[in-house]
Amino acid sequence: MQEFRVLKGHDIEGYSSLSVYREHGGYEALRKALEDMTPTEITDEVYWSGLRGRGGAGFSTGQKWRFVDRDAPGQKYVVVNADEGEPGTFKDRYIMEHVPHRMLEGTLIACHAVGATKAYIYLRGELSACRDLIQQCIDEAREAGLVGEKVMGADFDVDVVLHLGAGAYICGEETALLDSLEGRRAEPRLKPPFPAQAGLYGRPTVVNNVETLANVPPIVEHGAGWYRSVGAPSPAVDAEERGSGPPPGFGPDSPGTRVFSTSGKLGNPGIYEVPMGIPMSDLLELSGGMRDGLKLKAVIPGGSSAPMIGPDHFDVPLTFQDLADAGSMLGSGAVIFIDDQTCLVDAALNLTEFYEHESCGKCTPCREGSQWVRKVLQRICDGEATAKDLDLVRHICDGIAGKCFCALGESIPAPIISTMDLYPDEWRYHVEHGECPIGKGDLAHAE
Amino acid sequence: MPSNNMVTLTIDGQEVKVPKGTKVMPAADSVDIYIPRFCYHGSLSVLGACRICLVQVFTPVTDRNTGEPVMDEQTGEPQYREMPTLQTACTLDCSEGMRVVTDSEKVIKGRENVIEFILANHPLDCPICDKGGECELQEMTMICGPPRQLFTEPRLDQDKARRIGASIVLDQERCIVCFRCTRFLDEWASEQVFEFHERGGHDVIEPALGEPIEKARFAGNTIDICPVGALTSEYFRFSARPWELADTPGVCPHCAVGCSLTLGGRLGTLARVEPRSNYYINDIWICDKGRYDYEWVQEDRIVAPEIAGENRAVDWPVALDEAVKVLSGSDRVAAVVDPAVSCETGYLTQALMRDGLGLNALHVEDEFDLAGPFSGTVMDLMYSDPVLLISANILDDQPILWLRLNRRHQEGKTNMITIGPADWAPDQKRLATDAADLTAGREVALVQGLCELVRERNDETMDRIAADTGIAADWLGSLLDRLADAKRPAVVVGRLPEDQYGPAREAVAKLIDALQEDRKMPIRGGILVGGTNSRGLRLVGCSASALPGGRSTDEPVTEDERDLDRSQPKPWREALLASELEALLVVGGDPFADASPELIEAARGLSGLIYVGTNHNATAELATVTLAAASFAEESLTYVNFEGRLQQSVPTNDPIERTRPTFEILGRLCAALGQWQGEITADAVRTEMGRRFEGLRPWMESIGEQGEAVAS
Ligand SMILES: Cc1cc2nc3c(=O)[nH]c(=O)nc-3n(C[C@H](O)[C@H](O)[C@H](O)COP(=O)(O)O)c2cc1C
Ligand code: SF4
Ligand code: SF4
Repeated sequence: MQEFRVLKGHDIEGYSSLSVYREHGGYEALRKALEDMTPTEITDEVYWSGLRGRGGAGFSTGQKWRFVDRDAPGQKYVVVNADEGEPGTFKDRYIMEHVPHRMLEGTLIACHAVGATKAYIYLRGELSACRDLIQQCIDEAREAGLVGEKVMGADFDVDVVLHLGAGAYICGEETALLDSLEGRRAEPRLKPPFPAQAGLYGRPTVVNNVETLANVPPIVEHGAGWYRSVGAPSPAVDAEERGSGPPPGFGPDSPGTRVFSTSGKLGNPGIYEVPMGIPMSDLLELSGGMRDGLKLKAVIPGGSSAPMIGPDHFDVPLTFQDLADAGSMLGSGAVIFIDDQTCLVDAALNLTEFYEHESCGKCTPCREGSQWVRKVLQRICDGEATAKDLDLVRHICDGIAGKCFCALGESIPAPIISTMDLYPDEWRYHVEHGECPIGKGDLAHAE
Repeated sequence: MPSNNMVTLTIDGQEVKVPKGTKVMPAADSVDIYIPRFCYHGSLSVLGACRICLVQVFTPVTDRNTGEPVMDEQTGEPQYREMPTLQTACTLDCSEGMRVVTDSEKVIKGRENVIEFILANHPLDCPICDKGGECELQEMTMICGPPRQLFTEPRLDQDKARRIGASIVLDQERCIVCFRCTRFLDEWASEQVFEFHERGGHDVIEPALGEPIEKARFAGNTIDICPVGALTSEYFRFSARPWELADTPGVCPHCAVGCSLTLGGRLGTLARVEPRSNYYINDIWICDKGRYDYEWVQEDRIVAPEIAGENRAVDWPVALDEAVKVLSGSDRVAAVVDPAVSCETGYLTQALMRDGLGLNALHVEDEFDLAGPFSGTVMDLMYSDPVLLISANILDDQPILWLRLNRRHQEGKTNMITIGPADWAPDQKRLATDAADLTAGREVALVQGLCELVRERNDETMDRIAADTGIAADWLGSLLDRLADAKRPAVVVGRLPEDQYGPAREAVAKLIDALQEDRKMPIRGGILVGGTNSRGLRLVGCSASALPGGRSTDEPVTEDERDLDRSQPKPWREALLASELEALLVVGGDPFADASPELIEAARGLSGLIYVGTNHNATAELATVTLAAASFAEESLTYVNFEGRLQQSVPTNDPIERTRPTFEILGRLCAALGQWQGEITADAVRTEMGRRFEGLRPWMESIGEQGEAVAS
């Protein structure tokens, strides 16, 4: 059921080294991009492939690149978002540990496509194993003339710099990341201007996720049509007759594969690359099903920011649109399967503690609302709350929803409201009986 | 049809037309629709942090392909779509046809949510908070807060009364994290005083350099713009409730910019000094010197007239009689005037000397007569680019001028180029767009050289001037490129050695001429020296080389003026050392501070030294007669700043103890010599000035709160 495109070669011994990667055709896409294609052709190919961002928002990658005015004078940047902090998500780390050169190759192609001569890889500080490996990849590539001046003899100079984050979730948000890179306190910036217009140091900047960029070399090598041959592309978008249908990479269009991180009490939790559009139940099966006879109770299908979905949607096709229709989102591709022995109020508390801890503190509803709602949830879990507190929780979530500066704050109500709607009895039991109907769940609390 | 750079929208049904790119908040302000705000501040960058300015927004539906508005088939009206969430008015651009609603149920509820969140961890210690009575949070809570508070959890416990530097005390619990203070420090002051650390609910303000800094140049302004009582001044803290202050419009006595102030007096003391908004001069800011340097108004004051001897304090008539006796007892008398004395005092001082004593020995303690008046206003300089600062340390000498230029600089609109000796003005050099070290004493050579190069650029001249000034030729080259591309450059020269002013004056005038060529907008500049009222004193004739009304001493004597020898007197210190003086009249200041022992010895040998002043100091020590004067906060006065803008300062307190207004003291000396009749009030003096001298008419009229331009 798996289809290795991003992860191709991940099982080959030494694939993370330049030599083995090249033995298996590595950097041929970069060669093709430099020798046989114009930058516009590269961007077009990525655009028509319908590749959508894997960082969370699912924005068309080609469109994002098109926003950069390649011919405008002055410095431009590509920034690799390797801050992977969304709870439940660990696919970028797997990519960087197993196929790091594919990400690097994609980064170099992106630089060439948008006219950037400098790339930064913003790596989550805690990923210490990746740190040395990625630095080694950059060094190897530089030595082999793939990074530096006149890459592969072409008229293309590029430098790549690895930068370590200091452990704040908000630094994954692309504009806060740019602030952090500039040495400032990380807070999301006002958009517009978007990074493509004014990003790092005020210069045009493309920010892409690790997985997004690792998708680029095969697209350049095999073409947009090949990319769309798997997954759940919208039929209406015809990549061959470009321009005739609705734009690719938007709405229901979900071509290609997706690298999912699955977690929960599963037989075989881990990383799975599958075509988009397979039913979620298949992914569960791939992950070895629920362990120890546990029953599936709810799923967080796209990282902690995605609202939970219930039994009605357990076989939802994993596409952008189907998950939106189910009231949630594909997000970062982290699928957290929650079993019937886990207390959902406790799970909501756990995630709220995370948001409270990670709120950057810029805007009022997120900063204050996260603290307040956490305190009330704590009381509910501790059996010290009354029925009125359930209304209070909704009241606070109402005050947060739609009023925050960025998506972090907007995510706070997701696990709370979705579980209240899915399993109201479980919540009510807590306040009526002063205890959990299941016994404490065992999700570890943040900190 | 909508014009190209204007958009029309409606706010609560009212039509508003604004330039493209205008945010909804200022658009609403422009039609007096008030949208609540905390982080928004018209003088700071847009942030969108506090979320109190939520509004409901509807936008016209447009056809994806044609961009034309879609009409409702039934009504024929344009179709509207509501934006999915409430929007922050401070960050949202106005767009054509947009409908903004600020008073719907949804909006009201959204605001209540935000206030409720802000109040959740707020200590609510209003009864002991300095900001009580002028707090924006109190106000917003009354206007749009929720009727009750549902928050029952323990509040965050944070630092109270913490010194964070620059005489500012922080109460972290009260802080609502609006980032106004830190934005001001970044965007205007470029000062590292304090900054935010940590994140989320742990957000705290910490000294930026680890330890609190002792003094800053501008940080005090954060106290004013802090919407709550989180930042308070060490000077004002707990000294009064704001509504107890007798606020009057004042003018800062500390430099030639003359920032508009609000003087907050209480029970005879000056409790607080704050900026008063003046678009032309200081906007809404003042420097920390202007804000805090007023302790002398309370401390170590001369509180009664004195005559040297055992029983110093005497009655006013006794002291004045003695002073008149000293002054009229000789024709070798000189007046030494501080540049911070008022126009009224200056006028009466010259009347006393010229009309009363027949003498022209009027010495103002500044270099203004050597440098000549500066041409250009704060606004002129703000809208010039680049501004060339040659040995002009405006950051220290005219701080608010620098602040306003720096904001323009930060916005990328005005470049500041600083050129001066190697160890001079390091901060201004560091913060400039570009800076160069000049060989000491080569200012005139540089200005002359630039003039030559602006007129005709060639490598040979460039190399010669580079060698002559110590500035690298390629740096000069890029400066000339910049000047050549500039629409409106400006040239400001600062303090020079005395003998340099003459040539510098000529050279600057020539350079400005050269730059003016082919340009439509007037090129501004000159030599910027002098104290608070240097310019005003010349206008009222208080200088050996100026007559009242801005006339020169070469002009013929008018009917009611006394004919006298108007030749320029020898500098008073030289004359005193050469024993050519018998008496001195010192008006304001402290000219004997740091004086040489010889000069002090010579002063002791005078038959009399009359000191009209406020504080015990070196000059008061030498005085034979001390005439106790009111401070700037205790008397009505006018100043003219470096731009030629006349402002009036209204006293917030009565003169303390037995002190009298400075102008009144001079008026009474004039009266004793028959040069004044009737009551001596500030108004009477202004009327007399305007009546007698055409150039002083503006003093007769009422002066607006923003001041009036009386010279340019
Ligand atoms: C709070 C927050 C955290 C985020 N964290 C990450 C992250 O760790 N990695 C990532 O790639 N994108 C993250 N994103 C999404 C980025 O803002 C951005 O959309 C993404 O890097 C764009 O790349 P893509 O188009 O390739 O997905 C985060 C967004 C938010 C709001
Ligand atoms: S929503 Fe939270 S993380 Fe985002 S800007 Fe506001 S405080 Fe910061
Ligand atoms: S101290 Fe005052 S101005 Fe600064 S962030 Fe806090 S509330 Fe705002």
